[in-house]
Amino acid sequence: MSHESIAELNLAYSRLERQGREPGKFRLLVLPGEAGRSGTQIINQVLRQNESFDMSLAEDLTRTLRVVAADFRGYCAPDTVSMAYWAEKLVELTTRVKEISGFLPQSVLTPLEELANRLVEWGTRSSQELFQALEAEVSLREGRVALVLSTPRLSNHVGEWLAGWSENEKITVARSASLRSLEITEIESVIFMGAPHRLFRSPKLEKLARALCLSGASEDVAFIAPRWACSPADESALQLLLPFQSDTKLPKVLPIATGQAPLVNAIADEIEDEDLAPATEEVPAVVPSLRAGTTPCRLLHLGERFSLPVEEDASRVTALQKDAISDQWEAHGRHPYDELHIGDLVLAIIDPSETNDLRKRAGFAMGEKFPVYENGQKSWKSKLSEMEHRFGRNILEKQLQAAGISAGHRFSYWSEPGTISPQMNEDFRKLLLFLGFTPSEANRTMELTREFRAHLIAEGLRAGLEVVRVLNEEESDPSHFDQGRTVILKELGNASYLVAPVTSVSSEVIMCDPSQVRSLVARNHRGTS
Amino acid sequence: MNQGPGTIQLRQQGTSEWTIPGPWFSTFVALGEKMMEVAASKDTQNHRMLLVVPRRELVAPAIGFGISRHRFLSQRTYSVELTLDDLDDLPEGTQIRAVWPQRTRDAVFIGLDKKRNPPAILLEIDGVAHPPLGAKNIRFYRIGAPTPQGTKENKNLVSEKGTAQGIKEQFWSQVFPAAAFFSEGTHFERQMETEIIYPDLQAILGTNELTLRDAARFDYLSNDKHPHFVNVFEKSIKFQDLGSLEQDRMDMTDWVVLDGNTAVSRLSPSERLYGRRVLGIVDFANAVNQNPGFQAFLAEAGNLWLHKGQDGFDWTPPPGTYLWSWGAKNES
Repeated sequence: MSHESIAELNLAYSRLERQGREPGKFRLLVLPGEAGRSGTQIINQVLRQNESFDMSLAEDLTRTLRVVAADFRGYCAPDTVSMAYWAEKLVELTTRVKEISGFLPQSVLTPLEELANRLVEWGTRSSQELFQALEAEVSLREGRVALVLSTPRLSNHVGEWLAGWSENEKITVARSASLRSLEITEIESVIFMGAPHRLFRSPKLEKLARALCLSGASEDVAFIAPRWACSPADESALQLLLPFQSDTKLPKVLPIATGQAPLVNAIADEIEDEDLAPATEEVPAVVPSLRAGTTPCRLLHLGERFSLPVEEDASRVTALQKDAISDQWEAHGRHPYDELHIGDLVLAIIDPSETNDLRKRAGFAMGEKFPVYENGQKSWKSKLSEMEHRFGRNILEKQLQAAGISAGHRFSYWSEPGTISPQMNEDFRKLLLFLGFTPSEANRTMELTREFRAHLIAEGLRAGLEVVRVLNEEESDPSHFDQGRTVILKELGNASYLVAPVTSVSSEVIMCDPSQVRSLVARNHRGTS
Repeated sequence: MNQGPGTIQLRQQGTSEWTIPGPWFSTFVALGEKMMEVAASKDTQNHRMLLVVPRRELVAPAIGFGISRHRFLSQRTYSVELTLDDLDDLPEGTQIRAVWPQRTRDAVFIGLDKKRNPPAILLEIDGVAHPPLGAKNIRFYRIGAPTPQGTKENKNLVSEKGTAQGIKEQFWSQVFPAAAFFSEGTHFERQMETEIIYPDLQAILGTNELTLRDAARFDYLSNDKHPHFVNVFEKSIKFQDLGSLEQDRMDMTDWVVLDGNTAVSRLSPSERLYGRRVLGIVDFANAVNQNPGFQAFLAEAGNLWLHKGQDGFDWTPPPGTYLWSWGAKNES
């Protein structure tokens, strides 16, 4: 949400003016929430007995109970999804209880047993109730809705099923890391799953809430919460977002509870939101695992959680550093295996679709020559595949070697759509001649390939420069990146990049799925370090 | 420019359309003017104001514009034109300003060479003796503020010697230090390049091409480019490395404006700002450094007294905008 146009600024201030003048721009939809209330009462009952058992032994159990309580309050999902989710939660709960059941008093075991017996039923009912309220709110709106969950963990879980939901086009899960990419002209409403007085206690959510509630990011804001999680404090909860207590008055939140009495502290809920989930909003929570394929790669391990497969014969990756004298961030191309050091910050694409987007931009920059280049590439790749089909892998490999192509054993990799050409020019020329291209056709194909590669590098560098611009604007310190950080480039179609320190570089060459080359994958500490 | 800023249109860098900003823009311009009124009181020397805005885009330049407008309407300047007779009485070593039609140089006055007729003026520029200057086509000013050496480009051609300094020249050469702004370089530069239609000022300056940089008369604290000295800008990362000359210039301003969460979080605690009037601008829309910004600002402001209301002056903030101020005097 940076560099707004004047029209966007006018829109934001006019929204804020209406929000200050018209009551009901901030609403709290209070749901009956009976199922979640029952479950939460049991959890409260157990947690209040913390003096009757060894808390150090029950750390995992209490964490699970807090997660369950948070899910009763804020995990929304349709039946089909939530039943499986809560079944998993049941397995987790029973496992935790079994682990330490011998150390727990009966006064704890009995309510836990009751909770386990009803968990799937209560959980599914809670999630369904929240989902129906969300669905009703979304269907009322024509514009986009930004959905906020109380924790990154819940954001991930809800984000998973939202992708397949019929209203998916209208809804975006908002996170701190994605604030830059939210278009204020598109967002009509913000919906928070949870009661505001509770949500705004979390420092991370507090900042997101300020950005979404107090900056004119949307026309209106709704909170959806079960009754037992609400409080009279919700009506003036926006005051919590001010930097200090003062006489300044912010708009009130209007509770809407059809046919029910005004809000009261219906349940003495002492459970703080679980904040122990490993995901943070600063780094991508879920990246795919590495898949086997045909591209020979080595792995750059980034931080503790990620790896970046880079072609074995790659000559550059984008590294970022802050110049000590100018105090400015700079992007440099570095050889991934000769010039990178532990701790160097590397720029990595998070979503594989960004690689395709990079290629599209390079193609666009190449102009009218791009279709000619593409046709040439399709031609030599299809001829190569035909030959493999005709002669078989082994014979073709021998023929390529006999033609003087030194890396001929890698022809399968060259056939992949993502591979631009053989790495060595000499190999490429010989391959083209081997495939029946005339010398002038081979020269032209190689020339266009070189040109495309140059555009690709330029586009990649542009992303690096854009990231540098963002970092310089924010005046970030290198120490901010110890755990990695996502940077979203609005100027490049909201492309997401991770900036993270190199923790090690594998010496082993592995065969990777071509679509994952130079895209972030989950680090496998057993197999990839 | 006797009325308020009136109908203003803006065109941002990279766009082709002129847009009329909402009332929020002129309200921030008015804040800049109010800040100058506050600065007129000695009671406010040790003063901190926290301005929390929904979005900070164009807020600081609008404030700078208001400051510039207020300064211009005051018609005061530390720059006093000198005649040859005045130069005759001027002590050696005084900093003066020599203004040619297209450029301005700050210099040290060495004396008059009266052997020549008319007498030639002897100056030292950049520490080097300058060949004797005749007074033709050059105007000399005594500057009551330390301005950096170096060539300054005149935004307009200065009128011939002997004619009264026009209102246009007064705008471009006014020396009346007002505020030092600290922000991120690229962010602030981009905002300063926003073009503005403001008929009153355009009529005075005789140009249709005007940016917020011009209207607010922003120059650089460490790389002075224009003869005027009203608002100066510097990247906040340079703050700790300011030389004594830059610090002296900053100390001459009435206000220090910390624009954005990062500038507020980094610079609020600086001892160099003790006892100064400081305005911190924190942005709700940007999560980066927001809480550190609040914490750093409030930790320093906590040494002062929180004032009630909008600091006693008649300024109603735009929607979603909040202003608190703290001063050395307990007004409760």
